[in-house]
Amino acid sequence: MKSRVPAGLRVAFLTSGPSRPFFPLEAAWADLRCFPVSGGWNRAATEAARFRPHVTYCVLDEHFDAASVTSIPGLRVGLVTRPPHGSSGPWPLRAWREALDGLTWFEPPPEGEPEPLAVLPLPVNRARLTPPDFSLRGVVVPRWAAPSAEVMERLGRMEELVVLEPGGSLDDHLALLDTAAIFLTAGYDATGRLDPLPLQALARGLLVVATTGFPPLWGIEPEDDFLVRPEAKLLAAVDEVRRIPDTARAVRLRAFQKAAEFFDSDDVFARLTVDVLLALDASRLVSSTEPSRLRRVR
Amino acid sequence: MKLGFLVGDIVHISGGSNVIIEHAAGLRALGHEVTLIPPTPQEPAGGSWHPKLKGLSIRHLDDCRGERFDFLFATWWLTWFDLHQLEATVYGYFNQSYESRFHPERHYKLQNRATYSLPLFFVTEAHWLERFIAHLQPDARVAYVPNGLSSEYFAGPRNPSARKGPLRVIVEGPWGVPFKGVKEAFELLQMAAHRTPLEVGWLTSYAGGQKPVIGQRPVRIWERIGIHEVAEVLRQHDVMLKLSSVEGMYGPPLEMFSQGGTAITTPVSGCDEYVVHGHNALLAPTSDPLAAVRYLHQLAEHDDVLTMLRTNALATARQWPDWRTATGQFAAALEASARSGYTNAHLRPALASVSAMRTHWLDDVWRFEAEQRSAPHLGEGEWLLMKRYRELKASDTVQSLKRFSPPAVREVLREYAMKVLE
Repeated sequence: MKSRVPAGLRVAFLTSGPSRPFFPLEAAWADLRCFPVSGGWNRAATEAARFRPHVTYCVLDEHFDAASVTSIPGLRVGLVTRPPHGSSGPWPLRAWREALDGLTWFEPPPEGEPEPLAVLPLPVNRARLTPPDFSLRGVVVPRWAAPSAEVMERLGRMEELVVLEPGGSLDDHLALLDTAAIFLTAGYDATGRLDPLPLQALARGLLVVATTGFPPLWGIEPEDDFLVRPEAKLLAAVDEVRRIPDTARAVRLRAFQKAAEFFDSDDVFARLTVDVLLALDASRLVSSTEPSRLRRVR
Repeated sequence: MKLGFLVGDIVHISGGSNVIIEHAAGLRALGHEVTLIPPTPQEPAGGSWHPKLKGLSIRHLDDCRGERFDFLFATWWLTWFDLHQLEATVYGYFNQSYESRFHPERHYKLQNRATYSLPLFFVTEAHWLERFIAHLQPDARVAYVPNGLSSEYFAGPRNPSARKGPLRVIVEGPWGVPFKGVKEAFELLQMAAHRTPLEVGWLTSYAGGQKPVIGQRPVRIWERIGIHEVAEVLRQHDVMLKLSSVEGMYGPPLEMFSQGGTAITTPVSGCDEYVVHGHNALLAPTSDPLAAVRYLHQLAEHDDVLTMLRTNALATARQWPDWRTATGQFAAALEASARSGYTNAHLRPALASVSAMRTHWLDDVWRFEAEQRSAPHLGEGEWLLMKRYRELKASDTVQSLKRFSPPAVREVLREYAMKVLE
């Protein structure tokens, strides 16, 4: 996916969480800076304002202070990356609406919430990812989406098994994904909808074996990009890959490619930035077509 | 050189066939002896859809036995399993898409994967396929040859045509093929038409009797028209809506570009060959179905954005190689291979083995299915009754009665029971 973003654009990200796996930290299509909000939104917004961004992406959380970001010049876009309900109740999205020019949801918003600028799955920062290593073996299973104890026990006997424990850091979990060939998940919800790891596994070219499909609109194709099997047949799927590794090669390659086609954060945010300009500052997009100001990304 | 292309259905309209016909005609014009080889005789009665089909040699498989080809290419994936039937110096695979994605059935997907199991001489039209094959089959030779844009059928205007009135949208694709997204395109257009007046056309090889209406206006349909008539239809529109989810490297948006139109399309595999979001088209992710609706509104509202996209689209098409150039690259790859003395003729027995294995396996599957169809089908309740009956029959009481009853009495009882049940 290629986008053409006007040259000389400054783009800021204000985010609290560990953003490396989801957002581009640098890009060829813009001067891009990240401002962590761990020290408070006010401080991050003041620093961002000095950068004079044309577009600012605010990754919203319950501590977001709408008043503080009004000092940031340019277009401000809110990103809602998780269900907007904390222990103290729903986030005050409506109150923030005036301070933000758009809201980006990663799935359709709850009824009554502000209309989104776009709906996207949480993307994957693929900057450091390479095609799958077919020499690797081993299965990774997240404890929170593990199959029955019996299946786990037999799985452990069959193949080198790594169990991801809840509470572990995302970086640690991603490092473990880099050492395995198969990611097995047995959740009830659509795979990857509320858990970023299946998409991260896909982007690393692991064979994702899941008991449910990815959300249908994501365009991830069962059997070609990953496997869907009922819990009773998970072991058979792993066994098949052990006995006939070649059957998994094409699936793992397509998984790696599909993540690049649809979910690469560099592409996703370049495209989204074009959309922001199209919706809110179309003249900048049009004037940027003079040849001297064009820059092709990727 | 003597070149053969194993083809599936060549006489009906398809983008894939168009590419084969253009390359075959171009290679013939360069002095090569080219034959299109369908598995069974095909009457090119529908050949009028592509004028170049008439000038090509089409001979079915049996007619070509005993000949030796310098290069013999499989095209549509099922033709791969016929490669071994003919003799060639180089066995090749002109791979236009990962066709496993056309079939939901696992057994087709597994068979399709087998077509990448040998290091053939691959020619492909998309960089993503080139990378895919190179990773999957590192010992294979892989040549990237872009599809051409016909300068005969898609000679473009100097500038995008002036426009006024409602946004003119053309949908492209056949009805009834889910991954072409035609049904979804009409649904989104209907949503967009609530706010934005639209004039909609549909260019299709098969309309399936559908007569869509958008915003109370009937959609104008062009069904099964010849390739030489397509440009005229495209010129009457501003934007193509193409929402397919599976492609190798699609041609219709590029053809639209050549006529001074832009496109709203999905970031489907192969789109990155020439589509640039915000420059010559808009890419609507499948995860955000309403994106296409937003784009339609925005293009209708911002004439300057529409003009910018159309202008850049036209420039993209102008820079794209025509068929003469593209086929020149195809020929150059073949000639370089021939000069180097490359051959993979030794793969013929392996090709034959994989094909034989598939045929035996399919025979077994079909035989099994036929047996299943002819066998009486019992429902869950019937199985339960059967189980209980067998348990009763095996019980000590019944077994004792059987032991102590004379055979004649047992025979009479059996006949009586059969009569009652019948």
